[in-house]
Amino acid sequence: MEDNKAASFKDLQSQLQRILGTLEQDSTSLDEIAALLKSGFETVDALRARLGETEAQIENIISLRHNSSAGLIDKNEGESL
Amino acid sequence: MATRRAFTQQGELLKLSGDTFSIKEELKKLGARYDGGQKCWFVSHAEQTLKKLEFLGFLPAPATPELPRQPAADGQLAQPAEVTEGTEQTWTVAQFTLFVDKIFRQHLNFDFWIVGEVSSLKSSGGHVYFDLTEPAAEDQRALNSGRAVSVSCCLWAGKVRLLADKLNDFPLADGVRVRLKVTCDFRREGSRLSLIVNDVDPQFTLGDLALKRQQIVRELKRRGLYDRQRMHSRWPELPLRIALITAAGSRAQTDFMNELALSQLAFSVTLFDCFMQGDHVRGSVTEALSMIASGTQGNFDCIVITRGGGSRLDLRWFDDLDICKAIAYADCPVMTAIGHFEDVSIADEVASIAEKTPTAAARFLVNKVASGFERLLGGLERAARLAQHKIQRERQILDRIDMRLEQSAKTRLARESDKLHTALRALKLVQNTAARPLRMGYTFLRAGKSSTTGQSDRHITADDFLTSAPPQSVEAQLWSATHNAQVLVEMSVVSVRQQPLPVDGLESMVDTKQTPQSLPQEHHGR
Repeated sequence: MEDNKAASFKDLQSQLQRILGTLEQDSTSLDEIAALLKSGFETVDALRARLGETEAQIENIISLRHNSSAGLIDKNEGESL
Repeated sequence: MATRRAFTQQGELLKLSGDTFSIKEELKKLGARYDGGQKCWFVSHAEQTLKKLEFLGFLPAPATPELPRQPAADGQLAQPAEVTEGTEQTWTVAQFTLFVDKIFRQHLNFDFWIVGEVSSLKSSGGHVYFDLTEPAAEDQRALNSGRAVSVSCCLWAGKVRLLADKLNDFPLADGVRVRLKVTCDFRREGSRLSLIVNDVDPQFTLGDLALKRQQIVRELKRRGLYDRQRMHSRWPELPLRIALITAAGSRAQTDFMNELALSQLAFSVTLFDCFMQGDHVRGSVTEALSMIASGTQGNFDCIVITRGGGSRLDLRWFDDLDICKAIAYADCPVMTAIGHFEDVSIADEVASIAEKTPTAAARFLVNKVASGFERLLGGLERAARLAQHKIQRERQILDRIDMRLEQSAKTRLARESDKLHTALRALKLVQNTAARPLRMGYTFLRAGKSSTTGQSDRHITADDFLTSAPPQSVEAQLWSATHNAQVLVEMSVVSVRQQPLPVDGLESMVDTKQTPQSLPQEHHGR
């Protein structure tokens, strides 16, 4: 999971695709299947966590949208040379 | 009363002069023809015509007076003096000024149009006084003198009121070329000659300005500067940092700043205090534009040049080549609001945007920033919505993958389980198939044990014994009904004999000699 936290979203997606591909191959031994399944579920959880974080950030930005005009408001009436 | 119209006999014709414009139709009816070169009318001399002319106010023009050689003693106009030999004729000042006054009254006692440049303009008690000057170059050509030719002019307060409409559009100002309708006035006190202004011709002045304007526009176009701002300047999405060129404390500045303040947007305005009227406009405005371009006062998103409303003639300060060049070369967009609703200055044409008033200029900026801000926020919001949508899609994909992971593992285990069951079924089938002949009392023979593996090599048939090299030992596979087990008996082949087979089956006699050590030690099979 530590590695998953460090990895990018795209890397995690690639990793998950590899796990899925390997899992569905007949040549994969039954011993490997359990490990792959565990790793796959962990990767899915990591991706879900990432999505949650991104969604929270976006919600935060949108909620700021209505207040953001305040950033442009200023009582500055200019200065004279 | 002043004679406004006069006629002079020239041969068979009468030359008509003075104010003839208002009666030109009547003159045409008399058969008069206008001479554009001399700017007067000519008509045939006839008694009937003379009466009509008198009716129209024409009087015979007085003949050019002869200079008196002897002044009159009583101050009346001197009659041609008698020449007194050896004595010089002497005039009094009064006689002289009276004589001059008489000449003016006789020969210049009518209105005429005059063209010149206004200078030394001043106003007092509602009256306007100025000098009408011939431009220096023309003066020098005319008189070969270094001093300008000028004549004093006066516009009485009453006439100012009468001409108010014309003067609103066309105020008299220093440096302006004008065409004035004047009457000559000679004051004997001080012998002052001046012109009394009765009318003005705005079209002449505007035409003169238009000519200068055309020359400047042509020059700007030749240099590729005329539409440089409009073609190349790009307004930023949020023009918040403004360089304001106007007169400090002016109404224009107040209006502009008030409009910006109403918007409550964070505009940052830096004022460049400049002359907006008069000869110093060019110097101060170009200097301000130069300061802005140098960047010493900071970076700006746009430049606004504005002034309060004024007359049409006030536009001429911004019909200036240097100002227009500085505007054209500005790095950021320039907006002008010079303040006239009907006409525009060249500066307006060269600028990226031209508004009419300071308030309109400020409103433009407010709208620009507000719409830019809305576009920016709208874009961000759209991007955020798209991101949210994508997250939802990714989440659905993850859910499917999650299920697929589980399903893949289950499917794989189910497949392996199926394989096992299939193998088991096959094994059982084989077992049942192989055991049946034994239970029926048949015996299987297999080749003797291999020296290396200790296992019987293969099942053998009678044909194996009917060869030149028959097996030396065999392993017989028998079934024990008592123990429900197969018994393996290892036997040596002593002899092989062939017999004909009865009709219903195979008869093969095999003589075997069971050896004690070949007895089975354990049961095999189930």
